[in-house]
Amino acid sequence: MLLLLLLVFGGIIALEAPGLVRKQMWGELAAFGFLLALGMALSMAQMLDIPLPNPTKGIEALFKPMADAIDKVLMVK
Amino acid sequence: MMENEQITLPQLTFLWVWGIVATGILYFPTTISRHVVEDAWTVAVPFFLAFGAMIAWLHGVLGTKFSRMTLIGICETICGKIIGKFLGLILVLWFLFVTALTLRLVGEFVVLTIMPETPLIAIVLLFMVLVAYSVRHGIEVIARTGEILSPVSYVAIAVVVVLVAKEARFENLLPFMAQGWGPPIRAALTPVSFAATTLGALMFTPSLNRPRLLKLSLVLSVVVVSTAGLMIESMSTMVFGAARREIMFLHFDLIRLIKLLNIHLGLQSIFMTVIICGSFLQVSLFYHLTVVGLRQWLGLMYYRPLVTPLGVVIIALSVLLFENILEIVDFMDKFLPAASLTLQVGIPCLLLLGARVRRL
Repeated sequence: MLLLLLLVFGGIIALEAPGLVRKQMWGELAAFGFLLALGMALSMAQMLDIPLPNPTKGIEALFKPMADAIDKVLMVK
Repeated sequence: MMENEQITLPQLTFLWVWGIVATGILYFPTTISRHVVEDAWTVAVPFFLAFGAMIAWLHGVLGTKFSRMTLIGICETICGKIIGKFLGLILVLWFLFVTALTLRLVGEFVVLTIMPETPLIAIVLLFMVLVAYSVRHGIEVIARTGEILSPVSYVAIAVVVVLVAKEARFENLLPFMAQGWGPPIRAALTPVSFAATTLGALMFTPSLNRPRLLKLSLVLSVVVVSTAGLMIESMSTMVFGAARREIMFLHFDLIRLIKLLNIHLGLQSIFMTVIICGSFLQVSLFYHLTVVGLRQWLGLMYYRPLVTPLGVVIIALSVLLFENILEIVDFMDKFLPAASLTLQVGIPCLLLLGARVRRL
């Protein structure tokens, strides 16, 4: 499975990167590299069962007071 | 300027109808049933008034005022470089989150209804390959796909509502308004929070052929969604009554019930097709917004190189964000409205205020 994942990422790089280098789009190349590294890190961690911080939990914690306030104003539950 | 793409207003309207409601057809009934059962159809009223009258207008005003810029550009023009960049990043991350969420919603639906043995990641991955392919070809292609798929889908949904009318019992709608307006308004918040994603339409106002009519187009898509919601919610309450509280994919089960001359027609495959097409457009739309927004935020010339790597991130996120379907429904019911309204109504309000203060 891990090998398959690496193969997929290798394929993406092989498809996109040479064109970017040829057209000298360095900014695009940097963004491409960063995003791909992020995606690779996330998917690898999931495959190897490494626990990751969950953005949903962050959003829930951030907006909990407001969500509670809405419920209170509308008097439901 | 973007890569010289042009979309027309009908195309924008078709796109946003799906942007609001594609996966919503599946999940809104569930979140609505948590608050109202008999009065489920009344949810369309606060939905339309709270959204159609205010949020679409707000986004339309902001969009027409700065019709030569995208949302990220608007943020930077009004708030200056640093705060503008910060707001822009928040919005891009928010749309990234919404894309991952909708992708997950499609995946869960397919797994739970027709492919229970298939792992979620396989479905999400295959779906995303198609979406990424269309996003690489630009908004024009997505918009034209919407133009072809939408009329067919609307007819299919209307036919379904008519066919199922035989099973409907009007008594199920009674008592009317037993709990007052609180619960319907509360139940309308989840659809409204999806509807507020019309803020994303500002990411491509420069590609509109007639940006003056942006407001009209956004309001029109809300009108379509409200009428569809009114029809289909009242029908499903009339058919299922109080039992609708227990059913996960209400409309899917509604369609299973359709029979003609006592033969079950098995129309759920048609419904499935409509939903998958619609969700395809919805995910493509949000994905495209995220990519275009990120391109502008980074100050790059082309968005195409960003499509594939961002797709990988979205796939990974869509699996990571939630444990199971209950968590998703809880989140959509309770936290999504607060987050969505703060970001997608609060930020545009601030921007308009800032524009007024700075006399832009």
